[in-house]
Amino acid sequence: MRHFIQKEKLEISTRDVNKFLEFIKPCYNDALNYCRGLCRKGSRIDEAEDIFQDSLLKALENFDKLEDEGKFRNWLFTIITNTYISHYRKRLFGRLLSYDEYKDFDKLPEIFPRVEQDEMCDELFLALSKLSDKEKIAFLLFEIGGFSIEEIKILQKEISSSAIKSRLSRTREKLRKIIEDLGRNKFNGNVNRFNSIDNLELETARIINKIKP
Amino acid sequence: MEEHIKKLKDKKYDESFGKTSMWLIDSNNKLLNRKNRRGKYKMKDFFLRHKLQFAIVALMAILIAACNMPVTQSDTVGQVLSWTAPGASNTAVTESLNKLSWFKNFDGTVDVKNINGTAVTEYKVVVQSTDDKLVTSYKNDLEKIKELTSIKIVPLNTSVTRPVYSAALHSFFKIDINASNMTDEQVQAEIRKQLDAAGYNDMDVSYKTMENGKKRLEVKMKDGIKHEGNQNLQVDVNDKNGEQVIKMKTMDKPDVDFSKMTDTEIRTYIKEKNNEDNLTDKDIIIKREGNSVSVNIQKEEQK
Repeated sequence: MRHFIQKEKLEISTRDVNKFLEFIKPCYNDALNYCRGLCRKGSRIDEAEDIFQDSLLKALENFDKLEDEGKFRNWLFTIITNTYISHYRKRLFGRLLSYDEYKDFDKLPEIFPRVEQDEMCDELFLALSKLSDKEKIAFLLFEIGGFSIEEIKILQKEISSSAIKSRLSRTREKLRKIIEDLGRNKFNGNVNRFNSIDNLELETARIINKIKP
Repeated sequence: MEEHIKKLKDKKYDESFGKTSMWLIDSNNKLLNRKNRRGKYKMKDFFLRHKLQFAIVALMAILIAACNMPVTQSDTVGQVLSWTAPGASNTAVTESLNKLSWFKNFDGTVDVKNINGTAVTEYKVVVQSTDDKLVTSYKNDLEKIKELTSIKIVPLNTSVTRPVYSAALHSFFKIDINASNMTDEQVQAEIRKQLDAAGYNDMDVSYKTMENGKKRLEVKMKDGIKHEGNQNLQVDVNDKNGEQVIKMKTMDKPDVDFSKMTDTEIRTYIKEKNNEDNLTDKDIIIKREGNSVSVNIQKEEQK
């Protein structure tokens, strides 16, 4: 009898995970890009993977609680956003709160390339890392997550939609300026990235990659 | 920049989906096992997950317990006014003293002492008021009588044991406002500000000039809020001449149970406790709701 119950549970569980995979497939790339864009330091790819891993586990664990399957995409992005926020909060109070919810789980296999090959994406990640969390989340949810202004307003607990509209326009302007500055510095032969500690890790990886036979 | 965003949107990781799926299937079994864990593990998880919150709650409990620790304070309950007069029975002094309006209201002691062969009469009067200005004014009256010497004010202290929070509150709630060149609105705002600063956020304050030119101050607890603990509130508003215009105070939490007393007994008790305020029955408003008794004292003191 006990064996039967265990088997039945396993079958339900397998059915659930397959369904979850069906749902996640269409938004897989966007969710990863969102995680990658969120990471504070342009070169901290591990962090993006950690956030993605914890978000997937949280989503899978609570998948049976999702009432409207049509809202899966928004639900997943909201989980990623909350995981990102709590991830950095946890880092801040890490010494006090050593508890890791998913410490018994295997690590997600590497997804992101350790050396960013695309220079434009690299610049964008660098520029995004210079924004505040609110600005970055609003921008990425709108551009990558496909969230409406109304949905971002609810997620960011704002009272009016105009606050989100102005945040988006301000962020866009800031990003444009940062990217322009990066381009100008590059043109002048002054590679700004070398001055940035944020990107030092990435530059080191690039050099190592070049030296490698 | 649009190109940058487009590049990011076009970034694909499809080749990693397979291994992510495998990892998810494997992790799902662990999640399932976790869900089926026995209660005690869930409890352990719960405590681990919320240990910061538990630490804060424990800290607050310690703080509350510490605040309830009794401390002994010395409270001034009145002042003793003493002076001496030459001779055993000095008629001139007695006459002068009897002329003082306040002198008759107080009980006191009169001792005749023999100091180095000279008879000296020592007077002691207990003033049941902690108002320094009032007692100083009595002292000034006495100093005008030439025969009197050694006029002293000695505070009458008593030890009171109360919780720390109450002790802290005791030193807070005295509002003294110099109303010179202030409008009624400014005085009201000032009282409100000082009450807020003292933690009295649940009070309605109204300060206005009546039709007859007299000032009216109302400070009362908002409806539905009970006044608890030994919270003394005294509001003094003085005009430009330094003359007291309005004085308002609340009394200590009673040491008797009002619910077991009749209205007449309550009124007598309050009058006894505030005898210097000359309260009348009309000033003491008693409301009863079941076993709960609320007593409001509305005494207008206008000069």
